[in-house]
Amino acid sequence: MPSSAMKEIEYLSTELIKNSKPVTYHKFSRELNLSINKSKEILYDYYQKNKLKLTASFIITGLDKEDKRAIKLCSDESQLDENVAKFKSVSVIHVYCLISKDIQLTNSEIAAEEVKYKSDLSLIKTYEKNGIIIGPEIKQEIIKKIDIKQPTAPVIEIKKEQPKKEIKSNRLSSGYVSRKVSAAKPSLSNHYKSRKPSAESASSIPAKRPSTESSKPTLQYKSRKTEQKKPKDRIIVDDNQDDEMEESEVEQKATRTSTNDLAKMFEDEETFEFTDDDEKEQQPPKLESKKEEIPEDVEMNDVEEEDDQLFVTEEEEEEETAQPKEPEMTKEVDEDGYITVRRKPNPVTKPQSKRPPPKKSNKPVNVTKKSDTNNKKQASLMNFFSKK
Amino acid sequence: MLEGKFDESTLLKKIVDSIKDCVKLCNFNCTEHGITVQAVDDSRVLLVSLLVGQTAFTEYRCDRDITLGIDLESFSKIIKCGNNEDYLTLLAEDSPDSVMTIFEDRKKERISEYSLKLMNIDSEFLKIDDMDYDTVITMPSSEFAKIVRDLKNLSESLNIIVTKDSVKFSSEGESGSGSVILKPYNDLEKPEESVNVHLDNPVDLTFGLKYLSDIIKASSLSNQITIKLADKTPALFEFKLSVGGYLRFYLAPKFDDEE
Repeated sequence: MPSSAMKEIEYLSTELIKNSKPVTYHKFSRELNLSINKSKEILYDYYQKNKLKLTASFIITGLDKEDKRAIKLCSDESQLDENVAKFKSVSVIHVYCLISKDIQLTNSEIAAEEVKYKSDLSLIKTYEKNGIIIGPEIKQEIIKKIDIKQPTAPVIEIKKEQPKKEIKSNRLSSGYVSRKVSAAKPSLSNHYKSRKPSAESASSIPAKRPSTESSKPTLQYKSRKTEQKKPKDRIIVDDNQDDEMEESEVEQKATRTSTNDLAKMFEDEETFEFTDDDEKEQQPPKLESKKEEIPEDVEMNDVEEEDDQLFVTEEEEEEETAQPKEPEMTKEVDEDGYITVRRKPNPVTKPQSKRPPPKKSNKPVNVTKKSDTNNKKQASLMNFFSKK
Repeated sequence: MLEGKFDESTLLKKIVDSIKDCVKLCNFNCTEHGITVQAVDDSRVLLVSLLVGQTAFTEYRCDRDITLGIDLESFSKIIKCGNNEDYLTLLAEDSPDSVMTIFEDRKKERISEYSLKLMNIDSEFLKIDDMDYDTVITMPSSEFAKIVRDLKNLSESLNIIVTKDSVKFSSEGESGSGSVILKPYNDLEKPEESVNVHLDNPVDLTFGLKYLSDIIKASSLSNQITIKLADKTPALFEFKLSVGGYLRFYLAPKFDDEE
């Protein structure tokens, strides 16, 4: 026996008997750099010589009874004949693995043991020399598939595309093919998903900070959503500023509830120095001023309060200026012999003078407000972006 | 060769309608990633930047970069020939002198083809750097459109003031003044109705309402508008396309005379 054969047998005996490990033809070939066929032969020889100590598993390749190519692993020599009978014709039977009879290993345990001897792509040349490995190992099958499929696949695709294009050119000058023909249309209905409600931006902004309104001039409007709860106080302001009225306030309140507006006016007039005869002349102007009061009382708010105050001061000022002109006060003796003092047209002119001031006060508001937004000059984009 | 297939002609119709009033002529730059447009209006105050991404098409193919110089007014007329639901296909050769628009009815057997002659348009391509804005507002586009329409009745300018807790739009004219104040608002059921304000610095800017009313024509493209503002910088108004892409407007602000 040549020395090389000695080495192989030594290896087999140490692995199988000493180490109690399975030896497949594949592992054997890789470890000792043997051709696969050679390794199978040596394994078989070794098995024949040590049948008592060893169990062998075999691989049977051939056609099964349905004339299909079949590969069968026969895990035990005792099953060999039984398995061979399942084949219609057998092309090869070879040793797959040798195991010591002392140990029982399942197929997957053998496979796991095999995994320890990995194939190395850099050694592929050596493998080639030893014969490309055709066996039940996963890795080898993958290589097979790639080899077979790659050349065939593109051929099929090209064949599919070509007839479509031929139809195109037949139909329209633009080469347009009805899209209805192509069945698979991705619909555009994928709805736009809002990119925002980032919780952080919402939370970083305090919801309500009424005190930071400094940038906003003029009237301040409070959201009605929050304000509705507060009941508003009603303040009634009267044009008559007489001290006497304050004194008799309690009395008047009692009478106001029971009497109508006209009656109220008569009561008020007691405070003036007028005689009964003049009442008719005095009534019209008084009525006017009363009419103005009534709606104001109903819809009270801050602005109108201010207006009322304005009216008061204006009245006083005008009275002061008008008084020097008051030689118009006339004294008469009436039927009953009373002396009456009459102030003539002043009450009539007052309401007229009352109305213009608010208008005057409106106009300057408009003028004084900054109207600079329209005076601004439009900038050009060229100031900001440069040409490429 | 360019071949772009839209599932519905509406999208392109809306895009063209959104920009045809501020820019008459513009170059459609077609690349493998989609179609982009950049154009500036005659007064050089408003810049339009459009991206129709590849995803907006059901099928898109562009072998070589192509520039289509398009007269938007004519193009708009062609696009109106199609019904909203029609399939729309754009076709152009590699160095084209015309672009073909093809409509196909979804149900009926009706296909129409229109060819539009292209123009050589000298366009200045402006370089727009990414920049940090002081404020980013996201709000319903219809809400912004209404504000612009309403305040346009009063004046030519719209002042936008953004402070910590609110956004104030105001305008002032001879007949009077008006303002609208918006506060951040989160609608969980309809997120597109929410108003979001991201503020780094307060902003006070004034814009021409003439241009803003051109911008709001794009409201049909998106439920939401994103407004990015920074002091003494053109504002960015962005409408995102749900199918991929955007329409952006850069608008130069108005300044006080002295500045």
